[in-house]
Amino acid sequence: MSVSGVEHVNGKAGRRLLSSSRRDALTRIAVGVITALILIYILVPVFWMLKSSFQSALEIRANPPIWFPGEPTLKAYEDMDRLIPVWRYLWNSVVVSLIASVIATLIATAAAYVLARFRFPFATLILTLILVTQLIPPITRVFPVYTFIQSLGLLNTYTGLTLAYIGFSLPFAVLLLRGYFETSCPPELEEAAMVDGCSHFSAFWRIILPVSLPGMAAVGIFTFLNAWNDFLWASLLLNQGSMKTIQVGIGDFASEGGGVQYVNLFMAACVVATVPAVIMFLFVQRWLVGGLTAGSVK
Amino acid sequence: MRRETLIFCYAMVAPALIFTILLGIYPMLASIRISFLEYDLLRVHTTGTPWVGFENYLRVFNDPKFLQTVVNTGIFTVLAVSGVISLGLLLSQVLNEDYRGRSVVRLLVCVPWFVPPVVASAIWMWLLNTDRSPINYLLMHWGLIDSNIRFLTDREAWGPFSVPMLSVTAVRIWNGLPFVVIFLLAGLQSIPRSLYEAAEMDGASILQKFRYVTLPLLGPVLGVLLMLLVMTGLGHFEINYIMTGGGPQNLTNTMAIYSYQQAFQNWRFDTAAAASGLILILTGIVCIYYIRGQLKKDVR
Amino acid sequence: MGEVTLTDVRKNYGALEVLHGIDLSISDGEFVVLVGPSGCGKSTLLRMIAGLETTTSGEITVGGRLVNKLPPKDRDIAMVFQTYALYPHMTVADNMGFSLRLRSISKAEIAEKVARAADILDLTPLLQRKPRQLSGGQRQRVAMGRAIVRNPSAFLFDEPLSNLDAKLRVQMRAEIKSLHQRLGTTIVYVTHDQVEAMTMADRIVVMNGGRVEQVGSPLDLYDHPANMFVAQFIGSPAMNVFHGRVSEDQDAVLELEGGGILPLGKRATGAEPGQRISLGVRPENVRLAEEVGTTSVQAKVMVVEPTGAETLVNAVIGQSPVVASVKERLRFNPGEEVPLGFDFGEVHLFDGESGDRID
Repeated sequence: MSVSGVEHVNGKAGRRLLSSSRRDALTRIAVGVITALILIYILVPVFWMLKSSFQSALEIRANPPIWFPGEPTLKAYEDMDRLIPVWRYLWNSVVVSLIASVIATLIATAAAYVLARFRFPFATLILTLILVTQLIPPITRVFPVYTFIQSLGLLNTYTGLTLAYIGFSLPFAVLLLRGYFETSCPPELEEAAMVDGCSHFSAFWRIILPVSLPGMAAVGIFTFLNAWNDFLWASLLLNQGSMKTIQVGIGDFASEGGGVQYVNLFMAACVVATVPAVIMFLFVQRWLVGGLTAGSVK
Repeated sequence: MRRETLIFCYAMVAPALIFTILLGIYPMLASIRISFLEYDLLRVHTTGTPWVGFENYLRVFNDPKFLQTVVNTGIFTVLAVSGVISLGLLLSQVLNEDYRGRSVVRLLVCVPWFVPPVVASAIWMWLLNTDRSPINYLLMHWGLIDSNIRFLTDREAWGPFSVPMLSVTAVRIWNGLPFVVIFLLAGLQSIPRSLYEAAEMDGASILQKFRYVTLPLLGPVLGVLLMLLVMTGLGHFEINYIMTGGGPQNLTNTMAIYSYQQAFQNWRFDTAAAASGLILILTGIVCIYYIRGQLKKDVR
Repeated sequence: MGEVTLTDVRKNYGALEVLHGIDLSISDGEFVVLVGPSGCGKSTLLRMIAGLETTTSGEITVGGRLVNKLPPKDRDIAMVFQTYALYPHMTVADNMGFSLRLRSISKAEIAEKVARAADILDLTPLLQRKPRQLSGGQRQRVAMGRAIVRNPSAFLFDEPLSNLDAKLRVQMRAEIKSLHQRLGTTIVYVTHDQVEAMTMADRIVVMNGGRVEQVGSPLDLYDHPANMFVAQFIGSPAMNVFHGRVSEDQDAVLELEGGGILPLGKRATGAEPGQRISLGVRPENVRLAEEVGTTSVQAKVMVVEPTGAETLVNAVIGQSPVVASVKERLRFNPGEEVPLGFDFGEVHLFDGESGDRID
C-alpha cells in the first residue's frame, strides 16, 4: 500500500518512505511467521481430533505418532454408539440449546428494543440489574439455582435446564441487541409505522422484528453456542442416564477412563459433539452478511 | 409519556426482568445468605441451617488449600487474559488486512470457537498425555528435550507457576481466542480507513500505525473486553475441572472448582457459598467499572 | 378538512423548554414551510404534530380535531422522513400499501390505490423491487407514494430532500410543488434550506430558538423582514448589514462601527438621531456608482466571484463587509477603490438593540 508511488518522491521524504517500507517488510515477515505459528496452535488439535476419529485405537496410540491415517476407517463412528449413546445425548443437547436460544432471543429482543428506544421510569434500574446479572460468575449461582430448579421439581428435565439457560443467556443477549437497535435499526422505521397506523406493538412485530433478523440471528447463535458448550449447569441439572447432554456424556466418559482405552470412539464422539455448532454457524452466516437494513435509510 | 407507551415498555421488559431476577439476582442473594449459615447437606435435617456469621469465611481463609486456589486463580486469570489479548490483537490485525484467502483464514481462526470446552479439554488431554503426547515426541525428535514433559502431572512448582498450570492456561487461551479475535475485529472495522491513509501520508510504519492509530481508538473496546475476560477468568471452571480436576497437588485448582467440590462432593453448601462469595467480591470490583462504562455510554 | 392549528404549544425536556409557545394556523390545502437554523425546534414541532413527540402544553388540532393525546395512527396524517424510512423487508408496493393493509382494506382496493399513486409518481415499473434496489431519488418518491396512497388530512415532510444531491433536489422540489397543486392537500414541510422554503411555500414560518420569528408569504418575508434574524436568514447571498449610530450632527447619515459613514437616504425616517441602528440592504440593491456623492460611498474591493449570471463583488466600507450583486461582468484588482451606491427605496432599518424593524 505505502510502497506505491515511492519513485515519484524525491529527496528526504522519499528516503524516509523507503526506509519505512523496508521496516514494514520486516514487520510483515515477522507477523506472517507468528501468524503461521498461531494457526498451527489453533488447528493442530482440531486436526488431531478429526484424523484420530478415522483411525484405530492402536494407530492413535502409536509411537512415533501417525499424523495421517494409513487406512481411514469409519469404524469408530459405527461403534461409538455401543459405548456412548451419542445420538441420544446429541438430541438432548439440540433440544435444550435450540429451545433455550430461540426463547432467550425473543425475550431479549423485546426487552432490548424498549431499553434502547424509550426512556421510561426505572429503565436505567432495569438495565443495571441485567448488567449486574451478566457479571455474576456462574459458580456463585449454582447452588441456589440448583435448589430452585429442584424445588420446582424440574431436576433432570429438559424444562429445568432450558429455563436455566434462558436465564443465563438473557443478559448478554439483551446487551448485544440493545447495541444493535441503537446503531443498526433507525428509529424512523417504527415512527413511519406508527404514522402508517401501527400501535407500538404492531410496529415492533411487523417492522422491527423482521428488520432485525440479522441481529437476532447473531445473538441466537451466540446463545445457542453458550448452551451447547455448557458443562457446569448440565452436569448438575440434567445428568441422569440417557438425559445427559452430549458435553456431560463426553465428560463423564472421559473421567471414567474411556477416553484412553477407546480413544478412537471417543474422538468420533468429540467430532459429533462439535459438528452441530459448525453447521449452525455456516447456516446463519448468510443472514449475518446479508445486511437487511441496507437501503431503508439514506 | 403516553400511558399506552408505558404499558408497552413494561410488557416488553417484563419477561426478561422476571428471568433475570429469578435466575440471576435471587440466586446471587440466596448464595450470599447461605454463606452466613451453617448448611451441611448431610446434617441439614437434624441441625437445620442456623446463622453462624462469618464462620464460613473464617474457615475458608484458614484452609491453606483455599488460599492456594486464590493465588492460582489470580495467576491463571492474568496469564490467560494477557495471552489471549496479545494473540487476539495480532490475529485481528491480520484478519483485518486485505489479501487473497482472508475469508478462509477467518474461518480457520474461528474453528476452536465451535469446539466445546469439554471436547477441547479431551483433545488436549490426549495431546498433552505424558507418554503418548505427539508434542513430546516432536520435541524429543528435534532434540529439544531429553525426557518427556509431564504437561498435566508434573508436581514441581516454582511459586504459583507449574507446568500443569501453564498447560491448562494454554488450552483456555486456545478455546477463548476466536471470541476475542472477532470482538476485536468488530472494533477494528469501526476505525475509519481514512485515518490509516492519513497516517501513511505522514510516513507512519505498520508498527507506528498500530501504536498511534489502532491502539488508542481500540481503547474502549479493549477495556470492555478486558473486564469481560477478567470476570470470566476469576470464575473459570470447566477446562481445569475436566483436564486436571484441580490437581496435581492442587496446582491448577481454581476458586470455582474449590467451591464446586465443596458443594457437590463434600455437600458443604455453606463453605461453597463462602468461597463463591469471595469470587463475587472480586468480580464485583471489576464489575463496578464495567457498569459505569456501559451506563456512561447510555447517556450519549 | 385539513386545517392544522397550534395554540400556545410548548415542549419541555425536563427543565429545559425548547418551544416557547407556538401559535400557528394553517388552512386547508395550504403549503406551509417551517424554516430555521438547526436546533430551532422546527423538527420537534413537526414531530409533535405527527404525535411522535408528546406535547407539554398547548393544543394541536388536525382537521378540527384536538389530537394532543392521540397516538400518531389516529391523527390522519402522513409523514415523509428525511431518511425515507422505507421498510427494507417489503417491496415498494407493500411499502405503499402497508397503511391500508393495517386499516383492513380489501386487497383489490389496496392494489388499485397503490397503482394510482405509483402512476402519479412514475413508480409503476418499480413496484416489485425492494428499497435497497432503488436510487436515492426513487426511494424519495416511494416515501411520498406511501404518504399519498392514504389520502390523509395533511402531509408532514421532515427535510425530505437533504439526502439528495443538488441536481435531484431542484428536480424533486418542483415535483413536490406540482404534486401539491394536483392533490390540494395541506402540507407542513420542514427544512433548513431557505431556498426550498422560498420556492415551494404558500407561507413560510421562520423559527429561531424555539420561537416563531415571522410568518408570511415568501415575497412578503423577502421584502419586509420583521427583524434582523429573518432579514439575514432569507435570501442568498445574505443581506448586507451595517451596524452604527444615526449621526447627531448631520442629517440622514449613519456613523459605522469601526469607522466610515453611510448615507441613509430618505429612509432615515423613524430613526432618532443618536439611535443605534442596523441598516440592511440586499446585494442586488447595491450598485456601482459613477463617483462618490451624497448617495454613494467609497469601498475597497477584496474578492470578486463571477457566477456566470451575475458577479458578486465582495468589498469593505470602512471595516464593514459588503457584497454587491451586479449583472455586468466586471474585473477589479483586489484593493481597488470603487464607489458603491444603494437603492435607498429597498433599504431596511432595524433597531440596534432589539433587532426589530423600524418603519
